[in-house]
Order: sequence, then C-alpha cells, then structure tokens
Amino acid sequence: MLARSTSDRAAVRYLQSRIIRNWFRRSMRSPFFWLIGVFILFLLIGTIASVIDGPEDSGLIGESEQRYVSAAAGVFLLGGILVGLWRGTTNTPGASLADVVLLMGSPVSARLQFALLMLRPSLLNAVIIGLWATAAGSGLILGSGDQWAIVRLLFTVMLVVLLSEFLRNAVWVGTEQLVARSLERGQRARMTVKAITLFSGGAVGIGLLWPLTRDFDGTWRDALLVLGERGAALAAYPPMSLMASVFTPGGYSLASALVLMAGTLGVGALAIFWARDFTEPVSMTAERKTDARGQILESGSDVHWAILSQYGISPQMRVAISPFGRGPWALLWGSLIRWMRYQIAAAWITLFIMVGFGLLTALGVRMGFVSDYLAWMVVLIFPFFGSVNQFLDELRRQFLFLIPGSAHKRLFAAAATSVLDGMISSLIVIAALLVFGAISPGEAGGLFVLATAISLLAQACLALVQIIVPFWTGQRMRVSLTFGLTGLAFVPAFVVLALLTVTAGPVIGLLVASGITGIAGLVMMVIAGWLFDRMEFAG
Amino acid sequence: MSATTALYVRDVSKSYGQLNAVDGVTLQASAGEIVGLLGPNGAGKSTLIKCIAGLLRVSTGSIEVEGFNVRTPQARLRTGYIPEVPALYDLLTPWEHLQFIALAYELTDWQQRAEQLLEQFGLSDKRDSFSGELSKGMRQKVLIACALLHQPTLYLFDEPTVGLDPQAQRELTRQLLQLRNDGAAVLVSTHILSQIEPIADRAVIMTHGQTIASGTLDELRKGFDLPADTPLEDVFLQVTE
Repeated sequence: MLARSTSDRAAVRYLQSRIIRNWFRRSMRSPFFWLIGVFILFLLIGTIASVIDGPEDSGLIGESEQRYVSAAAGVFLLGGILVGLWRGTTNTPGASLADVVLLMGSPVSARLQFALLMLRPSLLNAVIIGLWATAAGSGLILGSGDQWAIVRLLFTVMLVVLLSEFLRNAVWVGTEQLVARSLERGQRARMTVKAITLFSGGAVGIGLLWPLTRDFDGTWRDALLVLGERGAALAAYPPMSLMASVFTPGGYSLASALVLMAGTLGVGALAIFWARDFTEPVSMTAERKTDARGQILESGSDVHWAILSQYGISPQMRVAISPFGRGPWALLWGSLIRWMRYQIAAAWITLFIMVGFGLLTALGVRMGFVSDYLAWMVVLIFPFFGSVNQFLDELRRQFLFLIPGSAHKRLFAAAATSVLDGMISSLIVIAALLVFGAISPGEAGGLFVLATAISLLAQACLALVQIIVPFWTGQRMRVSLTFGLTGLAFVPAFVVLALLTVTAGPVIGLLVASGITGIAGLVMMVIAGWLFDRMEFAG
Repeated sequence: MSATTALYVRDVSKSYGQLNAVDGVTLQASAGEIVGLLGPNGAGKSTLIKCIAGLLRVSTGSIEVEGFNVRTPQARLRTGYIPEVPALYDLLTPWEHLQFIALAYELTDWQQRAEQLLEQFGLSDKRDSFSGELSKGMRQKVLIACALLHQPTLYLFDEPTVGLDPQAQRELTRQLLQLRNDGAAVLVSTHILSQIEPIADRAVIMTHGQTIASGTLDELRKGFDLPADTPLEDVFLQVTE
C-alpha cells in the first residue's frame, strides 16, 4: 500500500490533470477555441519579437511618470492586501457539489483538499508567475526599458491578484478553525479583521486625499500630481516599497520581486497549514449555489405565467400576472418581469459600474486625456455588446417556440427587453457625461437615439446568426460572428456619421446614423422573423 | 455498542442559529442491516445523513463509524455516501471518476469490479463519455457505482431512487440486498415507502429533527396498535399525524 500522503497527492493530481486535459479535448471541438488560440499565438510571437528586439527605451514612459507608476504599483499592492483581508471575512472558497461529495467525502487529507480548492482558480496565474520567476532568475527579463516595464506590470498585477487570493483563503480558513471551536470566537475574529481592514483602508484613503480637501484650487491634472506624490510617499514603506522598487527608474530589483513571490507562497502555505476543518461551510455554499441555480431556472422559465396568459385560463390569475400581453406579447411581459427582478436583485452593482464608466470618461474628456469621439464609443459600446446573454436566454425559452402566433411578433417580443436594457445602459453613461459637461445636450440626445438603434441592430444580428449558423459551431463562435455581423451592418451608418459630423455637425451626424442603423436593424429582424422556423430549441 | 455496530449516532443535535434541524437523535445500524430513515419534508433526514457523512459538524453529541469519529479519514474510508443530487465532475468520464475513487481510497485490482459495476448499471457504453453529457439518471448511477467501488462497511443513501429508471431502481434494490448480505450496514433515507418496505430490517421515523419511532415494521405496528398486515405507508402516516 502506498503511503497515505503519496496516494492523496496522486488522487488530487489525477483529478485536476484530467479535468484540464478533458477541457482541452472538449474545447478543441469548437472553432472558437482555434480562433482564440491563433490570436494568442500571434500575441505571444509579437511579445517575444519585441523582447528580442532589445530593451531600448522608446520614451513612452518618462522618468517622472515612472515615479508615479512605482507609486501606483505600491498602492495597488496595498489595495490587493486589503481586499484579500476583507474577502477573507466574507467569501467562502468555491467548490462544486462533486468536490463536496467525491473529494471531501474521501479520505484525502483536508490540507490537500484545501490546497486544490485554493489553487484551482489561480492555476493559470500561478503557472505564468512561475514561468516569469524562472525567466527573471535566468536573467531574461531584466532591464529598465519601458517595454520591460509593461511585461513587469503584467506579471506584478498577476502576483498581487495571487497574493490577494491566498490572503483571502488564509484569513478565511484561519478564522474558520476558530468558528469550528466556538462560533462566537470565530465571528469576533472576523469582525476584528474587518475592522482592521476598514481602519487601514480608511486611513490610507484619507491620507491620500487629505491635501485635496484643504484649499486646493488647482486643475484636475494638478490634483492627480498631488495624488501621485502622496502615493509615492506611501509606497516608500514596506511591503509597498518592494513593489514600487520593481518599477523604480534606473533599475529593476529582482530581489524585491522574489521577496514578494516568497511572501505570496508563504501566505498560501499558511492557509494550507491552517486547513483542517472547513467542509461544512464549503459544502453548504456549494449546495446553496446549486439550489439558487435551480430556482433561477425554475422561476426564469415562468411556465405557468405563459400558459395562463396564452390560453386565458383563470382570468383572476391572468389579471394578477399579466395585465397586458396575450399570445406572443405574453413573452414580452414575462421577460420584462424577469429583467426587473434581476435589476433589483443584482444590477445595482452594474449601475455603479456604469456610472463609474461615465464619470471616468467625463473626467478624461475634461482633462483632455479622452477625445469626444472616444466618449461616444464608451456610450455606444454597451448596446453593441451588452445584452447578448439576456437575449440568448430569451431565445432558449421553450415558449418562444410553442406559443402560436407570427414569428415576427414572437421574435420582437423576445428582443424588446434586451433592446430596452441596451438603451438604459447607454442612458446612464450619457447622463454621467452630460452632468459633468463632457457632451452637449444635443449630442446626448443624438447618442441616445443612436444607442437605441444599435441595440436593435445587435439583437437582430444575434437572432439572425443563431438561426443561420449551425449550432455545432459552438455558442462562443456564434456570439463572435454576431459581433462581426453587427460591426459590418454598422459600417454604412459609421461612414455617414463620420462625414456628416465634419460637414453638418455632430447632432445631425448622430441622428442620420441612427436612422440608417435603425433601418438596418429592422431589416435584419424581419429577415430573422422569416427564417425563424428554421431555428432549433437549444434547451 | 455491540461488536457488530457499524454506525453509532449518539444524542446528536445540529442547529443553524435558532433552528434545530436535528435534535437529540440516537440511532444505530449494525453490520448486515438495512435501516430506513423516514420522515416528512424538513424532518432533518438529509441533515442527519450529511452529519454522518462528515460534511456537517454536529452541535452536540457524537457519531462513530466502526468506532472511529466520523470526521476522521478512517471513518471516511469506511463510509459511502450517495446524495440525492447526482454530483459529478462534468469534465470527467464515468471511468475517470472510478479511477479517481480508486486512487483516493488506495484500491488495488479495482478495474474488474469497476467494469462489473458499469455493466450492472448499464453504463458500459458510456464509460468514456463526459459526465456533463449524461442524463440525470445516468449521473446518479455513476455516483452509486463510485460509492460501491471501494466497498465501505457503511452506506448512506439519501433519496437514491430519484431520477432512476425502473431497471436501475430494481438494480439498486438488488444491490442494497447484496450489500446487506455482504455484511455492510445501509442507511437509506427515502420518501418512496413501497420500495423500502420489502427490504428494510428496521425503520427510523423522524419529524421536526427528532426520532419519534424506530424498530422493525412489526414493532412499529405493535407500538401503535395497528393490524399485523398494515403497510408501512399507513404506519408512517399514523406515526407522523
């Protein structure tokens, strides 16, 4: 019989290696995988070529900017540590039900189980950092040129993410051992960590922003310079100084990077060392996630609602559930309800992100970093890419296929909520831009109409691609083709927009482009409606 | 605790905040015995089985499998757990699941038994398919095969027949009887009383986290003054009302 620890390692290694191997095997069946593979290969060749080309300084990052880059790197590390500490008090490590039943139910040691749970989401990250350490140790990635700085930036970001993740696991599993012995003690420990994190984060935030609150009358650019100086002062203290030294002008401290890596590994090792009793919260979280998925699928289908509305059974119920919409339009009502539920439950975070995007863009425009046209793109990108999943969900609902009625009506009903979602997303960003004076009211109106038209065009292209392109090409491939088709269909409107903006002004340009895009979207949707019966229910 | 006691649950309670999901339950299962764990929804059956499987901590009391604390590797080596939800790795094939179990439980010469199990559950032609591509019933069969492979001395089945086709249900019943004949202790939580009635040696009935009755079917009938031919379903309804 093998030693227990040897067989444990063999079992865990087998499990994870087979999952990875089979993921490759399955992915290789999809054309999308090859498409992405070729793209990454080109990217890799380009990077290697630029590295071989030499570490000359092309002047993209000057000496003074490098000081701020160092400061930002140091503050980023501190942020990563604070986020890791905070998440350690709230986030249970993720595991599937299969992990719970087959792995955690087995005699494989608890520490090895936890090591797998901790490393699994960070596996790629850890492998790349390992490669980097090897390359750095061999003297391949040294030098001070800006292209080296970009490589260093990429890897140090990955290192901070890994450190933050390990820290989260260490804090969580460490305090969980206290919870296992005494719930009150464990909760107190987590509250203490939370308080320390909040206090430290708050103190750092106040320290950074303090000069701006005291009679500061400079421009936005001056404010950023002040923040950079404060960040540089903060980054002089360890462990931020280690990270900052990686970006310090005139040299790259391999020793600093290695200390950071050793620290990261140490935190990970500590987490594994502490991991003895953690099965209960992990298994309960895994079950909750499965339950939630089941409940979403169940309520998301809204089978009874659609049946009642369609067949007019139980007028009382119909009035209660569907105040308007029968036949195909009952689908619209159902999808609106689902959309509303989702917005209330989860989309308030998205709202903050949207507002953040808008504010950052407005700030960029005001400071001259971002051109007006780039701000337009930020607005239009949401309806272009935003509602794919929403409409795909609608296209997967069996009642779209079962309810009698014109295919065009059913398709429009299924797409309407997604179009609305795209409109609202762009409206939030437009409002933020308008409030900060980054765009004029006329431009805001024109952008909103164009965003609505693009939203319609995007949904029409999605429906068309789902109908025409065979399912065996894979969903990711079909979604990529959707973006390609939407881009192509937008070309005429884009050309007109560019010409008219220069000759007749932006508002006219935006309105005419909206008209062209809207017509293209309607035509596509009508074609999709004609072909709709060819579409198969994806289940 | 007798020498043949495979499972000993002693005054176990499990609470979530104010809710007592399991409240002072004591039960035993001996080698070569099938015990039916019965009760209405929310009675605490699944929570108790998860405590016995070592997935949940007990608030008070203790659970031992062949004398080993349930949360030790020794107890896990002796326990096979089949939950209601067929939890498999989507990216592993049935055969790879069995191979993982063989490695985790340090099995030798397991291949022939694995082939037999796949054959018995009609999975031979699916041995190299990804589990994510199997139907719910087939996934449940794979999970049962995984639990049977390492031949534990205590089996915990939580609603094992949900999602199984009639052939698989019959095969499972045959397997349960075989396990009993081989000397294993089997604890089966189920709602389908007609399936457990012909094979269970004893029944334990729970409501609101507590054991309200236990014994052989005859003992339960006598305890509630019911005629000798009363089916288990009627006994259950009488006990739980």
